[in-house]
Amino acid sequence: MLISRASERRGARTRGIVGLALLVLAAPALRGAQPARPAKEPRSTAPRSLGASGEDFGPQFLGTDGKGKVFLLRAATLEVFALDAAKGLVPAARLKRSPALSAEPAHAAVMGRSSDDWWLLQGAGVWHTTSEGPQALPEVHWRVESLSRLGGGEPVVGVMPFGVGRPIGDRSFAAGDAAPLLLSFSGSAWRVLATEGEIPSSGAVNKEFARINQERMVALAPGATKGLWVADRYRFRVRKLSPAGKVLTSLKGSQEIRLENDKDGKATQRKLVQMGDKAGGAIANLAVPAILGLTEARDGNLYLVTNRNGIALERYDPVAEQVDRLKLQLGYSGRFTMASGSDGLYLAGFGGQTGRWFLSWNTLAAADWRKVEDVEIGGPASRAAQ
Amino acid sequence: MTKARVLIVGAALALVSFIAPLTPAVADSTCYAENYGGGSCGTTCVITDDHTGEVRGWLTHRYAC
Repeated sequence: MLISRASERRGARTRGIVGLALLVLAAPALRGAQPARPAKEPRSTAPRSLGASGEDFGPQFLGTDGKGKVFLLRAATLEVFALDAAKGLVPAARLKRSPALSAEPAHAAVMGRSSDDWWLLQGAGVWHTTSEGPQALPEVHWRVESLSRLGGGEPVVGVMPFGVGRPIGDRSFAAGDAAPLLLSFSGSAWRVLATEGEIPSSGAVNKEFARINQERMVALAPGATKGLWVADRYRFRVRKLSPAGKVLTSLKGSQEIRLENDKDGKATQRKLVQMGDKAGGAIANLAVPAILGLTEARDGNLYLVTNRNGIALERYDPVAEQVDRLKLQLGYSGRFTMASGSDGLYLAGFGGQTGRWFLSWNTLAAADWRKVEDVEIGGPASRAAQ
Repeated sequence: MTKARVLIVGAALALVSFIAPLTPAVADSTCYAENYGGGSCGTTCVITDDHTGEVRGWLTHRYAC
């Protein structure tokens, strides 16, 4: 009996100690069960300024070689500089000019295999410029809007579904035909790489001119090793295409094209419409760009500068199949060219006076990235890819 | 210069002078002789902000061809 009572007392004491231990161990979990505090606002990151041209040097474009060295082309002077986070701009090459080339404004450029080898979209035409001089490529015969290269290969243009420079009475295309979106240059001729939708009727062109243009304006970037990235300018839709034009990856966010809703914007549109006549007119582009620039890094991650609820850097990791977002502190919200260097990410505004910036890989690794939930990621088998 | 071209150039200048005060940037324009099929043609000038590279608008003139 005595043994039994002692055992009961020891049992009661043991249960008390175990209960206290469980309470201590469970305390963090109990604290976790309390109502969650609101998530902290993401911290924004300020890219380091690498300066801006004090004078108006016109458009500037970035490119990178196979070793991750970054170069900048000033299209107005055809000067090429090495762009280094520590040294800034260092003269690297000067391309030969020609009167025909320099007379037109440059809209886009992409670097070829070396710093003295560039492709330019200048005026309505595409040029190949080297230290030996510029060479005009054959006419594309569609309105060219953007320019890039298939990773490590031939030039590619993004086009509007409007025939250009064709003879009157040309019957080679008609409303309802598949509309070319991208054409690549094989060395002697342009061939259709990808189509999208149909060629609009002349009635649709008259009624929906701005919308047709906005839906088909794309930003292009070469794949790091092969292929091509294609991003809609005014909505979050990004695709990676194979060299044969097959969709390999697609990222799809909101498909709404946002329009400026400020009073001034509406007034602008009204006044521009009044300036037009029945046969055509002046049309303001009131769409707000969603994707401002993009580049694929050497590790396969895709980086985009976006304007969705503020200027941000977005990163698509194809291994994790995830998109993350980093708020940027940047006083510029126009088009960018971007380059993935060996030491970090380089950004350049369109005009030389807007600026150039740098984000080291270490800065990006330590930054406050937040997962983006509202992006649908698809591959070739996915409907989202279409 | 044809009457249509005079109209286009005049309207382009009006458009550029109208847009210019809205932004500190200067606009560039590139014009295209376009064919829309079905006997419809046009001239389109794309007006681009040369600081940001953004398309600010279009100036269009349509005609039968």
